[in-house]
Amino acid sequence: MIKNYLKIALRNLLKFKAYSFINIFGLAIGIAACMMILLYINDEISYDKYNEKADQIYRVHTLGKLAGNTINIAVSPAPLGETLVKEYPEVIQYTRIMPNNTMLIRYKDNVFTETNFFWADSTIFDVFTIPFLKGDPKTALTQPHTVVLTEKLAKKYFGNEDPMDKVMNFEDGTPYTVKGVVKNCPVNSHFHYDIFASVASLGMDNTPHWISNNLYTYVVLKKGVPGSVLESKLPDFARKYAGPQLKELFGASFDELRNSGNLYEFHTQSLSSIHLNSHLDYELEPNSDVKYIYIFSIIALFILFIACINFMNLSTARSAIRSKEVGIRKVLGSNKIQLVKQFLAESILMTFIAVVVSIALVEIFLPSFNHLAAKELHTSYFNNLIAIPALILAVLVIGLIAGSYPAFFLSSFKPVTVLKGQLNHNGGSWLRSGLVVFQFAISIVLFIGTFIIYGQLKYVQEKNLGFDREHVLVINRAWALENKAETFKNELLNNAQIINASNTDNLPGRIFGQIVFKPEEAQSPQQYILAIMSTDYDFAKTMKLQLTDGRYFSKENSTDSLAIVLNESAVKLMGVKDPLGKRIILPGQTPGQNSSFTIVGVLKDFHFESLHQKIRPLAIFLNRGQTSYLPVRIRPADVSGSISYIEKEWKKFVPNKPFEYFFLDDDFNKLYQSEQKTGEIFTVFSILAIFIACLGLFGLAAFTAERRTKEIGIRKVLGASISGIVVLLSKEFTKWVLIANIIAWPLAYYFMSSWLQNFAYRISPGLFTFVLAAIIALFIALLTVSFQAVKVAVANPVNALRSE
Amino acid sequence: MLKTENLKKLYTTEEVETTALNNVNIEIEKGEFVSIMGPSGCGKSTLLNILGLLDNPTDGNLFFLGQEVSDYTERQRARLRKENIGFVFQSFNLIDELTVYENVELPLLYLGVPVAERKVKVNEALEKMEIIHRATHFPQQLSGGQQQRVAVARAIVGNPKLVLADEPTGNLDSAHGDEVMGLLTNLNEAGATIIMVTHSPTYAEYGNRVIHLFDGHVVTENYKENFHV
Repeated sequence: MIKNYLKIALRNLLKFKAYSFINIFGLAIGIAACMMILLYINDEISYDKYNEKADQIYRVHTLGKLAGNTINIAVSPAPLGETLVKEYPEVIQYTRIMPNNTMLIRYKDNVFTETNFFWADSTIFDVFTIPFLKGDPKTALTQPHTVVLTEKLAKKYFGNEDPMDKVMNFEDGTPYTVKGVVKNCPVNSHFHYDIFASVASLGMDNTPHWISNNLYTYVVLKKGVPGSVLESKLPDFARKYAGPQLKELFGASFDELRNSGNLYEFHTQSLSSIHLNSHLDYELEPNSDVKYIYIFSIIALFILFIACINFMNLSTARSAIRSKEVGIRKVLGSNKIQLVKQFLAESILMTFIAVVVSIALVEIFLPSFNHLAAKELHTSYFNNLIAIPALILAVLVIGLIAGSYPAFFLSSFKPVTVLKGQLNHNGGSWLRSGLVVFQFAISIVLFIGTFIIYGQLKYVQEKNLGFDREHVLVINRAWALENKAETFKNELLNNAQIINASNTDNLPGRIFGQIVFKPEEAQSPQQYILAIMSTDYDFAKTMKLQLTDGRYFSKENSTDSLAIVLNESAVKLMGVKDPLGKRIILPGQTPGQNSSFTIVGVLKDFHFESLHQKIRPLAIFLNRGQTSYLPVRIRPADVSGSISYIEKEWKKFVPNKPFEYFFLDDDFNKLYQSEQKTGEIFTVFSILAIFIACLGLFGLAAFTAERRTKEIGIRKVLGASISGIVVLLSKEFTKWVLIANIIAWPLAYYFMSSWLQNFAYRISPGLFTFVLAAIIALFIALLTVSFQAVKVAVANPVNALRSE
Repeated sequence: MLKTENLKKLYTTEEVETTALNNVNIEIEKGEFVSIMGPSGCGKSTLLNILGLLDNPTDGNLFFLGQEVSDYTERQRARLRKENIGFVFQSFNLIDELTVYENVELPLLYLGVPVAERKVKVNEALEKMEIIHRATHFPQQLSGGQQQRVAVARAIVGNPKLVLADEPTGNLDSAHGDEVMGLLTNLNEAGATIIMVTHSPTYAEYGNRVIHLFDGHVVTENYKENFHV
């Protein structure tokens, strides 16, 4: 019997090729999209789990609220890890790392800047799983001035030489000895290393400061001890160790501070939760968000569901064709269950073919998807124990879901009615319309989502930030100029293409440190935390910052080394009236070491951080020493000429150091990389969703047109025009799409409003966005439907009537 | 074999109630060849569908092989049908996606007949209908007469006690019509009970009895003189 079912199924498949194609291809696209999203999700949730001790490792970070400022940072104080191990028996090991993303390293003639550079404790190899190819993990980083390289890096510097015990020179000339070679860093790690250097080389690793947070601390708990055990002990721990130093700084005890609304706490995060759930300041790398996992899962399910709906709709729409067979089978003694089984077997067969096609589609499109999602996903059906059973299960489940409704619908026909040709063709049409409405509602939600994401991205990229980010070339590692920076700048300005140049230790879009200040005239012990940076005289000019009061630093004022420039927010926070000439105090580590600065200017607030955040209070010092960056404002014309001019000058000044530069606008826009990526993925999948939905609509329109052939013939005989017929046939579908909008709008509004909450500065989604999505959906739907409608409408009515 | 008592069938739509059959009392013995005649809409097909257990009467009793079946569920009727009744239709009702052989085989599949036995029976039926040379063809490759022969082969392959034919000659020219009537007569002579709905008085005469229906009533029942049960 099963052979008979399969035979019928296959012959039907071949006989109605267009229908089979729509069904199988639509389903295959849906399944392929679903598979790629699942691969993506699978990769996202696998982060850091390759570590053998993954479930025992926790990162301890600092959370606080001091002087009106929130501290929510991934870093922690230097003595934290060691003290935790001493204090609590369940903490068996700790390690600390500190990144440096501009480390210039030299071996003979090979000079490179390493961006994945970490200072690390020797215990790093005890905590994380980092397999050694050469050297001994126990001793590799115990001594100062030692490094461990990855295979990749060893190859880059040493080629085929044995790197062990070779000496590399860091930028300042210090020699470092290679003590180990490790395997390359796995992709799914929340930080990516190429080289570790012993943190002992820095000398700062043993500072006893509990209020200064510079290092990332990871601890290993005893097996079976949950993180909550340590977490519950950390409040007391903070009081015991950070308390005394807080008192020194703020003049109030830990508990007094807490009672006045301040906080200083340590918290644990399990290692495997960092990639998706940690959104602190100073993360090692931008993390992903578990929200996107949910969103993408839902999209994957929806796309699959849309494809299944096509299957149901087309199968039931085609019921007229299959009904005769159902009738005959029933007359010949088949019961309902047998027919249900037959139709289910048929849909499972279709699904099976669709899955095979989708595997091919995934193989074809995975590289593009990887490019899109910045991933290195790959399929491994045979290495993965669950892949094959999962695919078989998918065939069965999807086949059953897609086939269940048609199976019960078709098998319930009464033989007498169908054989008499009196089948009610409108059977199931309500459900069919409902499903199409649902498909379009999903597509429209995805459309609106895409528009809003892009709208917001456009907004953040074009918003006036309070400085001019266009046409600013930034020379990286400007400290290589040493004391010749001023001369270099002057040399650049000789070129008419170069408008301005400046030295600065920081740039908008980068990470800003912060310090506690106190206005001199304030009576209360109130202190304020301000973000800080230091620049030369020309920074405001080069960035086109606006002053609301006073002046920027100037060479004419010899006392400017003790001057300070604030932004409006800082003035407002500290409540300084008539700020010019007032002084603010920077408390020293010990009382009596205070230094004071005179406010010489107030800058209009500008966005030195991403638009996710409100503009923070900022203080700028004068810097006449070496700095990290040298931003150069150039004229828009002949950019490449300017670049080569600057490079030529650089080579004159520092012939042995590489010339590295980037453009400020590109650099700043990297802050929205994750949204950019999400937007692109969203676009692709919303196009896929609407495509599959239209594929279904196309098929459905074909059957509707076919069903109404006689009606259309009669109407034409009676004098209906072609356009009249097209309108007649399109009206129904238009109605569906409009209803879909009514469902989609509130949903899209709700979801997208909550997404926009991620930005402190955001667009408000206007009605236009929604109307645009509606118009596009309607346009696509009508285009799809009218193709069929026109075909039927222009046909000779005689043929239509004869067929009856 | 078949007996109806006050058989009634109503069709109800939203506004109108149509009486298709009203107090039909007939009895059909084993081995009979009964023709049912009457104008369009008189209830012929409705009666045939009820007699063939494709439909339930609204009221009245139907005895099939001595059992009261008017309240049977679709599932029970399906079982009785496949074991006892063969159908022949005006429009042949062959499954287009199956070959001649597979169409004829279908009832045996539902009866659960083992494969070897199926082969024998299908070939027998096809030979009897002289269509065996077309076994691997699809219905649409055959003429109307040939298709109806396949349909008859399918109706008799399970060796049913009762064959119901709903205007079996309606879509055929007279030569093919005669041919099909000849086949039915042969079947009847071989022992099968046949009930046939027809418009044609000539073909109706092939039966031993002609029942005339009008507006859901049995108007007359004419036995041929020389017939004995």
